[in-house]
Amino acid sequence: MVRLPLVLLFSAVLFSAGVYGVLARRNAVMVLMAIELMLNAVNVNLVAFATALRDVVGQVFALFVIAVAAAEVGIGLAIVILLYRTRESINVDEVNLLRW
Amino acid sequence: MVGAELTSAAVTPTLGLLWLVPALPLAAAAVNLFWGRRLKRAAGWLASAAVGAAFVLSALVVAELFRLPAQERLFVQHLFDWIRVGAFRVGADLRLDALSATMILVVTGVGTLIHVYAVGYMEGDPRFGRFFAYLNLFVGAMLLLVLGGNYLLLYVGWEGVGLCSYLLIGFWFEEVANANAAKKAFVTTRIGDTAMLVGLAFIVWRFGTLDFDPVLGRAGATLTEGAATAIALLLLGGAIGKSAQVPLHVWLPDAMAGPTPVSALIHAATMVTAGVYLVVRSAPIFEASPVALPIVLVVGLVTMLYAGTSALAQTDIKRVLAYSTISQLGYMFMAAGMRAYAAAMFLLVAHAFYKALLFLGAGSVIHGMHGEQDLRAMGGLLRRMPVTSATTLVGVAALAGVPPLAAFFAKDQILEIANHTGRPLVWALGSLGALVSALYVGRLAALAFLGRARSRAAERAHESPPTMALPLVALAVGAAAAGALNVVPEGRLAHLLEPVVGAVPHGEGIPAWALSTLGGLIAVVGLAATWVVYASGRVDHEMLAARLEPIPRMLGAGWYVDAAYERFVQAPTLAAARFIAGVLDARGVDGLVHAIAGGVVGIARIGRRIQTGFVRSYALVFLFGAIALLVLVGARS
Amino acid sequence: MTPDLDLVPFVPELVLVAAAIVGLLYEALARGPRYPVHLAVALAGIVVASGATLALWRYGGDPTVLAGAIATDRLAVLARLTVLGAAFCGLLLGTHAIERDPAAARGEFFPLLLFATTGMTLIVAAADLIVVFLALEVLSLSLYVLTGLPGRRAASEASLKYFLLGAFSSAFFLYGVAMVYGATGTTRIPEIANALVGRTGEQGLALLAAALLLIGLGFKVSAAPFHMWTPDVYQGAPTSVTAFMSAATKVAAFAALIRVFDVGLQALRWDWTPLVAALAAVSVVLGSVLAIAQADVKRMLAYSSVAHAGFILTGLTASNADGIGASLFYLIAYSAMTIGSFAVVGVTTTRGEDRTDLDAYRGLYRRDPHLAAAMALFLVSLAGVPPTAGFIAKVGVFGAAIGAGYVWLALLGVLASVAAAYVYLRVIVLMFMVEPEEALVSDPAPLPRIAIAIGAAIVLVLGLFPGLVTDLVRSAAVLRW
Repeated sequence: MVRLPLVLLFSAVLFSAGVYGVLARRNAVMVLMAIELMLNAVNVNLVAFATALRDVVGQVFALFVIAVAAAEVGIGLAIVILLYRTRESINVDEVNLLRW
Repeated sequence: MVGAELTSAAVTPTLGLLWLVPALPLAAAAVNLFWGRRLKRAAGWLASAAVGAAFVLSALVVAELFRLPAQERLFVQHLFDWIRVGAFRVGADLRLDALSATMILVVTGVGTLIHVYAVGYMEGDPRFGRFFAYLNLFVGAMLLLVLGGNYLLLYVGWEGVGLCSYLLIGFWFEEVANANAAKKAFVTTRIGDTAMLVGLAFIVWRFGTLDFDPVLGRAGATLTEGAATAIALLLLGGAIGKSAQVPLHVWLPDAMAGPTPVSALIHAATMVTAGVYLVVRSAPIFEASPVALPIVLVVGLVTMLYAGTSALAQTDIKRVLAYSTISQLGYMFMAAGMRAYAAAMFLLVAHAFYKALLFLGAGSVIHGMHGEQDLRAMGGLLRRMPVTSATTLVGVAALAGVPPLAAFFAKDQILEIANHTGRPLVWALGSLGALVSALYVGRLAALAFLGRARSRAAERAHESPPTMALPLVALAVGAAAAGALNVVPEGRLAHLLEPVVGAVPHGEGIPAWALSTLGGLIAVVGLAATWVVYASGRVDHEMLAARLEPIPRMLGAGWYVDAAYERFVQAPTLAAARFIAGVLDARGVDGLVHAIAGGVVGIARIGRRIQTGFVRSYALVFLFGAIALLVLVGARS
Repeated sequence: MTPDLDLVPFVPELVLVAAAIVGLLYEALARGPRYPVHLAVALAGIVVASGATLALWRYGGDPTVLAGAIATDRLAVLARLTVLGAAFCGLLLGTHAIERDPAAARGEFFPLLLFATTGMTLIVAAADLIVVFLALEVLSLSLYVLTGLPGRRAASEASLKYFLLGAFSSAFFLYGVAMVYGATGTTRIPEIANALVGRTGEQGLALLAAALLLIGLGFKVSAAPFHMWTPDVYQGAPTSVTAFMSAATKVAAFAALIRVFDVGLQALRWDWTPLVAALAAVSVVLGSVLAIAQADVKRMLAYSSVAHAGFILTGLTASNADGIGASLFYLIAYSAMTIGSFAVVGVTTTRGEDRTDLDAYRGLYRRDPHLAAAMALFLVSLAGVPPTAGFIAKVGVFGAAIGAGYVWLALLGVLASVAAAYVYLRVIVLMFMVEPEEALVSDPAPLPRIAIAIGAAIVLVLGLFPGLVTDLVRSAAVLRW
């Protein structure tokens, strides 16, 4: 049995890694993946709490989150393709037409 | 404060019409705004009729009010609950008492005459309908200001008249100078308005309500001296801006860029007196503070002398009158500062008549001379414009304080109170101010109407049409007779106002008859002196002025206050804004913002650079925000 | 526990989804000119959903139904109606945009807008954090696509930024939900409230959760410093979509915020109100000041939207029925003025998205007096000048904040509104006191003008007679669970 605080710490690290990815990556697809990492960090949290509380809701919620994340990736990739069509690039640092 | 002890009278059919008084001009404004172009000349008559009807209604309602016993002369008309947030509620309440009654009669009475005059004056203007829409909107807002039963409604009217003033000063916006004058007026008064708004927030905080009765009735008991001082000074800030007192007076001379009826109605008779009204209405708050009223007195005194002397050296006929208005408003503030509220109101009423008359007379002169406003180009108009000249001369005499015309009684009362309440310095300076006002107004009259014509325009000047002449005559009668308001026993204005604003202070000093005689002498001597210098031909006044240099130049420039503001306030902010605009952004937005808020614009222009357009930097800002919030939470737990 | 299947409080969402699916099928199968049918289907869906919502005003059943997922209180009803009204106007504007610019037109606009509306009406009624999250995603995903729908450079950029930042913020929100679950063992908002009420001692986990939830919802309402997406997205999205989302998203997210914080986390209110006050202060100042330097009307209105989020948060610092009522009133008023002003932006010139700069407003009064008058009304209301709805709304939230002891916040709000007044005044001056320089023509299309008229009527009526809705707002502000 793994102790709860350890899992929470793990998920926090995972979440932070995701945050770092969003901030550091220039490739839009990589940013997208970093966001997925953040969502999955939360899933770890939810499942850990569900186990600790002996409650099924957290696990159900995790399933919902996975489904939502899939939809999000779908939309995200569509938007990235749209971006590529209009600019021939998916580097987020080249996208700054709208500013100030 | 006696007002809080009044109980509201029961509604009668006549009193119930009170709401129509502000509603009529507002309705006419809406009609003129949307269909003004189609109505053509009828727009002006519609507007005049609406204000005229409001005057008749006001007279009926006020007559009904004064039929009641003195302690019951209050009528509050609750139209509907306007705002309700928990225990805090503000009603759309109209409050008619002796004070607001005086104000609505002045506003609608003088307003009607000026509307009629404007029909002639604005003839042929391409935006005729819109002019009257704005003018009606102004009257409606002004009536709301004085009839409002709480500070919020007063503030609604306050902002409304400010907006109309802005629109009307810049009415001929094709000329850049006019648009700039409008802007200056708006920004300057806005400084005061902001102070006032903060003052209102303080009142809500302290009293939990904005209704006059609970706030004013409990002011002495509820407020500590510090709180009372803070609120009073914040309100005074609003009053100083609106009534063009030192140091926020700079907008009024420039506001003369508006059409002359506007100057007469807004910048002489009504809107600029709103500050006086505010101080008188809020008297209990001012009295709860040990320093507020003395500050009012000093502000009034300084303004009175400053503006009076500045008026001596103006060459533009309307600017003489503008400085004169500032000076007279200073007198009213002085009176309020000595707790002589009824005296302040008396001067306010009298001033509304003779200053509206003088402005309309000046407008008639400008109209007759095809736009010429320079006093040096006038002269000898008495023969060519007899009605205008005669009526304006009545106004001149009334302003100078020649007995038995309006200002003689009004100013005399204020000086008497100063003398009798142990303020000899105020009395002396006030008398000096009276002499100065006789001098500047005498100079105006001598230069414009007497002597010989000094330009082609003056030689060809013609009398104005009857729509302009008739209001002049009516106002001349008013200006001559307004002094009687305080002479008639029982019907005396001070007596009528007493239940609301308290009695005029009394005391011992130089006997009243001696003071009155002195006042009359000052007026006559002052006028005579100007006649000798400017009209008799015995003195070369241009030579005299040249010898006195640089004093006339300094006075003409309003003691260089404007220049100083330009140099030390406006120029640096503008320069900063231009620098930032030039260095960082070549696009350059509209000039208005630069002038009004250079500093804020600078911050905004730098601040917007945070918005780099890079999505990753947005995420970074987001993260910083998130961390800041988490730290805040951590600090609490 | 047997889940009770009272579907009545869920009918509005069912109707909207049904209408959206009909629209999708129609788009896939039909040929020829399709927009009138699309519009009719979508409007019918919204009208029926509004009717179903109205019927819920007098709903007498349990406070929550469907196993605690859906709340049946009047907050849900009022917020839903506001969202549906915004969607109604958004449909009118969107149809007009499609007619004007067929090259960028997509029939998916209608079902997507309905899906977004469904997410919004669902989130205001969600009584379970799982449902809150799902609804948040439904509305967000639809809006990301709506933003990028024209497929042009600006739109695709806006869509990408909105999506990346939106997903980023959802993760924070979700993290917060997980923390609440960990702290209380439930995701149902009423049960969270009960679990927190009796508890004494360490609340660290719950406080952390509160902060994270506030971050997630703060993003959706465009509260600074989580507002960075707002100007870019508002500018890049089609104006009709901007109009819709500026109003409806704010209403939806604020209603969710009220339910999560004023019901679920009520016990912690002394800890989270300072956070709300901090967000409010930053938003009010930043939004008001940065709006001054904008040369594009849509960006200017976006910053103004940030400032207004701050004003609404100001009301919520009170965390009582007064504050909630004031904020709800503010939301209704703000929806009317923002939709109205964006609708005007859409028809100021016939060139649509190409001309949203301030210069297009020079001398608008000469060109189209009614349009200029309407815009002036909206701007005056946004500035908070009487006698408009914006003024009453500001008085309400400041009053609530003062009542709750946040005098400094109210004063800051007053000062910021004074500064912001110049922003709006500048446009009014351009419209009324400047002569037009170029030959621009305003768009005479009728549909947007209907939306403008609706907005103007609401702004005026609420400004003059706020008493008409005060009682409704009051009864919606009393939360029961």
